[in-house]
Amino acid sequence: MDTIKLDFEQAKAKHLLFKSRLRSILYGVGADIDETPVLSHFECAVGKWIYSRALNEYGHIPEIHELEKVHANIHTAAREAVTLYKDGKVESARICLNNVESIADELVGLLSIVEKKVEENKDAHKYSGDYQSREVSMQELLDLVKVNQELDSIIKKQSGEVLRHKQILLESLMQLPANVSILRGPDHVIELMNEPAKAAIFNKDVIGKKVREAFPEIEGQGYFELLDKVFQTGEPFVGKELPVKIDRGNGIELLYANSSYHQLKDEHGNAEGIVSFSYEVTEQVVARKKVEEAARRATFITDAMPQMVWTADDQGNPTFYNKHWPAYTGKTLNTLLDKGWFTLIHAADMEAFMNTWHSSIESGNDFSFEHRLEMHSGEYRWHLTRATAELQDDTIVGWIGTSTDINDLKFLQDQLKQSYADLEVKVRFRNLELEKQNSELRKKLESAGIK
Amino acid sequence: MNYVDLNAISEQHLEGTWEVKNRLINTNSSPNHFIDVRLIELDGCQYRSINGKERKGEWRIIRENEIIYNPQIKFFINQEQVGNAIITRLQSDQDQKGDVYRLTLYFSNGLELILQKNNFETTV
Repeated sequence: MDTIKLDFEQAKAKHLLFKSRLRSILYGVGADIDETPVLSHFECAVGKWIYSRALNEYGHIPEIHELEKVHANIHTAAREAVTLYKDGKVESARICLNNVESIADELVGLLSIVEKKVEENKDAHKYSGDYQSREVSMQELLDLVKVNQELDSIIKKQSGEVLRHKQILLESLMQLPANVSILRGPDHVIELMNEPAKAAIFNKDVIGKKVREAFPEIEGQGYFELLDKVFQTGEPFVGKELPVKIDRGNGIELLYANSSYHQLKDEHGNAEGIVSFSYEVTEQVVARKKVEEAARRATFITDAMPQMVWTADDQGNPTFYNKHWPAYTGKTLNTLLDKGWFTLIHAADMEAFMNTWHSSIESGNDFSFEHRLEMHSGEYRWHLTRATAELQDDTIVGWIGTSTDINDLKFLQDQLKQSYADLEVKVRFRNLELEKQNSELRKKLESAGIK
Repeated sequence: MNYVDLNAISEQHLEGTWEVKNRLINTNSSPNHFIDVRLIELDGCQYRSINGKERKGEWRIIRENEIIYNPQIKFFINQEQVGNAIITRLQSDQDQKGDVYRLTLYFSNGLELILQKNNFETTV
């Protein structure tokens, strides 16, 4: 072997030694490996060769300078991989190793180019041919072969474990009670669906089809765009009670589902698909919407009533107020729910009110009481409060009550009462006057001798 | 608005210048000179009324508890009774300027007068 060829073969061997060391670190082989030549591009064997020999000997060849930069980049990537590994991010570190490999290929290519150019111009340049300071000994190369064999064995074992784990994971996914689908590629080709997912679409034949072709009726509902975004950005999507209009073979139906989409990556970290999990919650959503609609209607009806309406639990604790309560009291609904409206009853009416109310809570009898109630201005107005127990199987489950403003009625009643009293006294007064006049007239007639 | 207890009404409550604010005339009311009175002034035991022309006389409160519990006011000119009324209401209100009193008198001829007296603090 000529000296130039030997020089470059040694450089390639040194590079191979570097890569083996890096892989050893990232796969945990050989705890006593010196990391310095891996982390520093000056301390590794190739670096020493570049800076002590190659730049001097082959500096007239432009590619040797490019090789110097590429070599530095390899170590930058190697440092990143080692840092990730030490931070416990083993998978990311190994993905980073792929990056090192890619740059390393470039380095080997440049070495070959420089070697070729040196060979072509060896007559024009005189090379030292001094290889006494060879950095790679035979023992080192034997060690290298041993380490690589160990590495191959470990990688093979780990790859087998990874494949086995992937298989277990896939089987577990398929057995989930949720609808699980795996979509492949940027067009979201439906690769796999578990049994619940197939049942959810009444076993419609969609495997191998693009999502857009399998479910064209979904167009315009935002789902295709959502899948595109998850695939492109890697950001997972989680949504609750998502409405979807879909054709499962019986025409378009409106369904609701809790769904999540997650990006799937290949061994190099590139997006390769999406895994979708979903639970159909149509029945729950429809039932809840019915309850909400009933509650909305009840609120509408109570708000339309002129009275202040309230409800309480079986112990008399308030659970609902219609809109007239905040308007009358100036208190928020939360304050009213927290402190109760009873605190706004006039102090003079409070004790009798509470006694009657507690008596009703115990007996379940209808409640009725006239009392004064403080309004937002601080003024008290008379109210008639009535409540009826809500019974389920003869057990009180709550109370519904109304408080009606009877202040004007009370005033009119008082006025009427007073008017009757006035009328009575006026009649008596006028009768008395008439009697007096009558008596005086009689006296005058008698004195005049007229009987 | 407060109602003064009818049993607690004294001459001091009634003394002052009362302006007629409302007048209810019964169709059967026999005429007396209070029918068209505009102002009644009560001072000590003297009274003065104006209904275009001025009349002067005496007044006093009568209380009897056998038939009529309401206090009565009798008006005299030259010893002759020219008017007799019961007090059916005396109410007081707080105004920004002072107290306002409203007095309701029901005369024996069916006439009802609602009078108002202002006890405003005068400022110089």
